[in-house]
Amino acid sequence: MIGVLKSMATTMKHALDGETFTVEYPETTPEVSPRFRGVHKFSQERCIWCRQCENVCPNNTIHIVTDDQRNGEQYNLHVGQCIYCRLCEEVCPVDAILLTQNFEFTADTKDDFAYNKEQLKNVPWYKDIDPLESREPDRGAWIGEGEGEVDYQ
Amino acid sequence: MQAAPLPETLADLLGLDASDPGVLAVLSIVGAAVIGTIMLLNAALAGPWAKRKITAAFTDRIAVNRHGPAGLLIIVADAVRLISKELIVPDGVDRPAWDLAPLVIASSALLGFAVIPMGNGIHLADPEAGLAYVFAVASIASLGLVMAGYASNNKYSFLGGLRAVAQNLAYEIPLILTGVSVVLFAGTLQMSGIVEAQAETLVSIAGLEIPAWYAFVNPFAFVLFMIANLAEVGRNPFDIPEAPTEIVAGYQTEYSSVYFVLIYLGEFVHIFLGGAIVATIFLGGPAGPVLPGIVWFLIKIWGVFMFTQWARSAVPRVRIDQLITIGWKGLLVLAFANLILTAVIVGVIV
Repeated sequence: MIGVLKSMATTMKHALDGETFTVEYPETTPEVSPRFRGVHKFSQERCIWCRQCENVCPNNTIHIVTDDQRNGEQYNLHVGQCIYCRLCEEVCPVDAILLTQNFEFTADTKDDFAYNKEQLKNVPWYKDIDPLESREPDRGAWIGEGEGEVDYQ
Repeated sequence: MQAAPLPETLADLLGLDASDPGVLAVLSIVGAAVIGTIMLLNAALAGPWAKRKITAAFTDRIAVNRHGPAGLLIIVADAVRLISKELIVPDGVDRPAWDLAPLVIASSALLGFAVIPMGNGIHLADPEAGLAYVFAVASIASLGLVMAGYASNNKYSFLGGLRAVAQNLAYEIPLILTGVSVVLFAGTLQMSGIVEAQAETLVSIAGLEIPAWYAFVNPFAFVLFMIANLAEVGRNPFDIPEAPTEIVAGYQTEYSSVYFVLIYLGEFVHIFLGGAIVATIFLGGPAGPVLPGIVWFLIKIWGVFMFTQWARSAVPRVRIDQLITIGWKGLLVLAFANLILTAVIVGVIV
């Protein structure tokens, strides 16, 4: 009985303070955590076509095509199929693939979500949030940069 | 002074002879249309719009706000959407009962407003057995629920109908017993008499006169009645007949289009009827300072509606066995205790 009264007091307090957690989306964009995992951004300049991201991907979202010289030709990623586990970003030795904070992507059909290399290169940042900066503590161990001791695994 | 029933007020306004039965019959129909329109407008405002807004406020969200000022035009959009849907009749339904059920649910709640004094002379009839009549017509709605559930030829609907019976049996008795304790205080079943009995001043604190509303005179009965009323109108935490997460949508599973609108509307009119009963027998009916009576009456009804939405956001649904336990072992005992206490107070002290 006391619990019922407590819960009623809590809900009334929330109703009266007038704050909302939701936003009116197109007019005001929500605050996104720097560690939020959105659409991927790909850098062809950095990529060394080592195929680690393709191997580590748990549900075959990334599809890489190389020629017989192992030069990269295609880099396809199905953002609709991706589970945003960030393993590809973590495993990449050269920061060629990054998960941005951008969640604003739409399509008419599921197939439109199969992004090719050019589309992945053109994915915009979201609100100038630098995803690398926020994930630096995690990444230091992988790429051997940053302040601390270099960890060669 | 006793407020004149609406047909006679209308006859006075139009300068007609109120003693002529023909004139009286026509004016009664006009009066019924006026009261029906007031209540249906309120239900239309509450169902698609106010309910969403209030629940959103309790859960820190923004609700409908795209259509018109504060999203009010969502009412029009919802009406067009629901009415333009196809009426699907499933195989094997018991056609007469299936067709009648929405009408019974929607009309039973509206019938109750015939004897509720709303202030400013908006009072269709004033029979001596007013309160008994209101309780009687309000409980016809459960017959509609059973008809809908049984005729749908669907085991989920049937379960919903059975639960509706169990719930209404369990909560009708405490509800009426608590109402009887008010009748003991007022000494009459007549609605205008109950309202009049609450017009006296209970105490006067620093120039502020607190009226003898039965919510102040007998707060215990008021709390009991509000809880039983929640169950009677089938709102959380007692929305067992619908129980959307347990039995799909209960008795209304098979209904679509206009039939669904009728059932949905009937539910909201029923909440407002519950609110009107609470306002009349516990909150002094249309009494209130400055504003006209009808405004105060609607404010009180909406207050009760807000309370149902508040309970909906705050209290989780009880299980069916818990519901029966609360009804028969809790509320019924408390209602009898309240009745005996009231009888002792009225008989010995007053």
